[in-house]
Amino acid sequence: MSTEIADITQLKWGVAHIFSSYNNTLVHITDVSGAETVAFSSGGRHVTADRYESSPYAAMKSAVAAADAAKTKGINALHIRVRAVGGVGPRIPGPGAQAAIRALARAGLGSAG
Amino acid sequence: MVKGGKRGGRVRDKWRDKQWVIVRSPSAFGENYLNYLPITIAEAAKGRVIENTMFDILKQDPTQHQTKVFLQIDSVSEGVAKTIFKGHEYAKEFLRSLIRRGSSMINHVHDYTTVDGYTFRVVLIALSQKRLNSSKKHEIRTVAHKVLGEKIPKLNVDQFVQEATMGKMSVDLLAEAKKIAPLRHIGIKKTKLISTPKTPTIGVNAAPIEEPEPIEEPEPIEEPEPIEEPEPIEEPKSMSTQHSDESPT
Repeated sequence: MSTEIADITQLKWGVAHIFSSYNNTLVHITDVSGAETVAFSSGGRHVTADRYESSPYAAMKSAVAAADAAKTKGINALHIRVRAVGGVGPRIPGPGAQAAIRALARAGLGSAG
Repeated sequence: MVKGGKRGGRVRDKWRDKQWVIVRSPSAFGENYLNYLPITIAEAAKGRVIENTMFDILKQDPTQHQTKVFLQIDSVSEGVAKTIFKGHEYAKEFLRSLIRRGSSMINHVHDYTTVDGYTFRVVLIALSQKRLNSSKKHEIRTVAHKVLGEKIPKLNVDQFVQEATMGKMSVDLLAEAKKIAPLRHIGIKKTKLISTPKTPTIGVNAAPIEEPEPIEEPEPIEEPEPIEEPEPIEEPKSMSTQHSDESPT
C-alpha cells in the first residue's frame, strides 16, 4: 500500500459548492463526498451592507477566504458546482457566481465539472 | 488553531480529529486509488457517495468524461475506503448534445438481476436518425428488452458494471436494433443499484460467486478483461495533475 501511495499524485480533491442568488453568494468547500465541510464563507462576512452581499466583490472575497482556509487544511484541487435559487425562483446564478469561480481559479485551486 | 475558547471551551478544532483515508474504486474498475477523504469516524463514512467520471477512474480515453459514476463507501479499514458501484449516468452535457429536433428518443426502463443476485435498474436511451412511428419505437424497446434480458442474467456484477459503463452493451444493442430502424445512438443512459444479495450493502463487493453452473460459458471469455484493465491505469497517474492546471477562464 505504501509504495502505491508514493506513486500517486498527491491531489486532495474537494468540491466547491457555490450557491449564488440575487441576495447573497455562499461558497462552501467540502470533501468529494460532500459530507465533510472543509471551509465556508458567504458574502455577508465581507461587506457591511445587505445590498452588497450578492455583489461580485463580496463573492470574490468569500471565495478567496474559503480557498485560503481549504488550502491550510490540505485541499489542493477543487471541483466547482454552481447552483442558483431554482424551484420557482430564478434558474440562472446570481451576479456573484462568475466572480467566485474566477477567484477560486486564481487562488490556484483547479476546477473541473 | 482554536484551542478551547476563553468562554466555555465549546470551540474545538474538529478538523484535527480527521484522518485522510484513500478511496479505492470497486473491483470492477481495478480497486485503484481515486480520492482522499477526510473522516472522523470510519463507521460514519459508510454509505457516502462519491461522484467521479469514468476518466477519473480509468484515465485512458477523454470520451470517458461522458459517463459519471457513483460509488458508495462500503467499508473503511486501515486508511483505505472500499467502494461499491452504486450507479452511473451520462454526463448532462453529453446527453444534451445527443438530443435534437426531428429525431425520436426511445427510452426503456427495467430492472435486471445479475447472476450473483444484484438488481440494477437500467435506463436505455436510443435516438433515431429520423422521426419514427410508434410501432417501430415499440419494436426497438422489445428488442432491447430481449437483448438485455438475455445478456444481464448471465453476467456477474463486475462484468455487468464494465459492460454497462464502457459501452460493450450498447454495441450488442445496436447490432440488434439497427435492423429495425437507423439509429444515431443507443446505450445505457443510467443504471442504479436497486438491491444486493445481502440487504445491507456491507461486504457486497467481497461476495463470492457461487453456483457457477450457468455462468461457465461466458466466464472464460470475460475473465481476462477485468485483469487487463487495471494495468494501464497505474502508469498515466500523472495525468490527474492536468486537472489542476486547467482553469475555466
